[in-house]
Amino acid sequence: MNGPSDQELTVALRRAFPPVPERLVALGHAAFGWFEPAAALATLTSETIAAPAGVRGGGSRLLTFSGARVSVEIEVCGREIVGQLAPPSAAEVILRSPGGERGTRTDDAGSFALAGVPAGVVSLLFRLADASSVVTSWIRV
Amino acid sequence: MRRAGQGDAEAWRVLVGRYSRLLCAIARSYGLSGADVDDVVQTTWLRLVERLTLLRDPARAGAWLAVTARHESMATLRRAGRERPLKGAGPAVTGPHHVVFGRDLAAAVGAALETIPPRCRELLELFAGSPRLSYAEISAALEMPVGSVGPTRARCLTHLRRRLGGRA
Repeated sequence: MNGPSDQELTVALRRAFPPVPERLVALGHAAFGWFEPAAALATLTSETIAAPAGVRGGGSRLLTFSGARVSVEIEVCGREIVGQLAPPSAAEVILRSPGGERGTRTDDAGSFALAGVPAGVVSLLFRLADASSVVTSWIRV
Repeated sequence: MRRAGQGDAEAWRVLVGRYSRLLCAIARSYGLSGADVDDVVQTTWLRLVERLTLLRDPARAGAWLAVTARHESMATLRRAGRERPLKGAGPAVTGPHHVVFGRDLAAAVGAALETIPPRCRELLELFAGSPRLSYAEISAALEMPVGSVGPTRARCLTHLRRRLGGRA
């Protein structure tokens, strides 16, 4: 037997692969900070490009999230999100992202608008008048 | 996963410690690197968080993460409008091989890993770097039947030994 033993090879293989970067492990740890166990999930059920990209490259996206009791339609255009809660209801709207939260409220018709949306992953959290809450699945904007 | 679903942060840390390498290896197997790998890993964990109270079978957390990471890797490739570059692009075989021992072995193994098929490298990385992963999880991560994991590992080790210059 000229080659290394099984055990030597196993040890060498462990050394040969670099550890997972701490940065990546930290992303995993941070994700748990957005756990909302009481919130119902509305998942992304459709996504379309609403308008062709213009000269500045800014086409807008229409996304629909569907949940058991509530669905949400949003349009993402540049760094702005305008949306509509269905059925229309009064709610506090919180945009969640690794860069921090920002909030607004829906109007009487259930629509809302958020400006200055940070690039990256975002999710919307709605706190409804009946004290229930809904989160959308995460999307990248 | 059940404990994490009840809000146990320590249980979540165990999950992250156990599966981070798997997610990283899957993203890289799609030819992704740098910030793209970060995106896949981050989104995959967020998807698990949003479904923590919904997933019925905690024992399949690893397989679920693997499938989700593949899905997110493809989404990342689509977003960037790139083709998947890795399939069939085996690295070139390099020059003469030497019989190596002892402390030089890790470096030689590192060099030899660059010359074996990418799938072999991924499989050996998962075995070496995440010793607690089950065959079922590795099978899900690499999209191979669970019954092939053991034989494939043996074949990949044989590959590696040949590159190292030893006898299989």
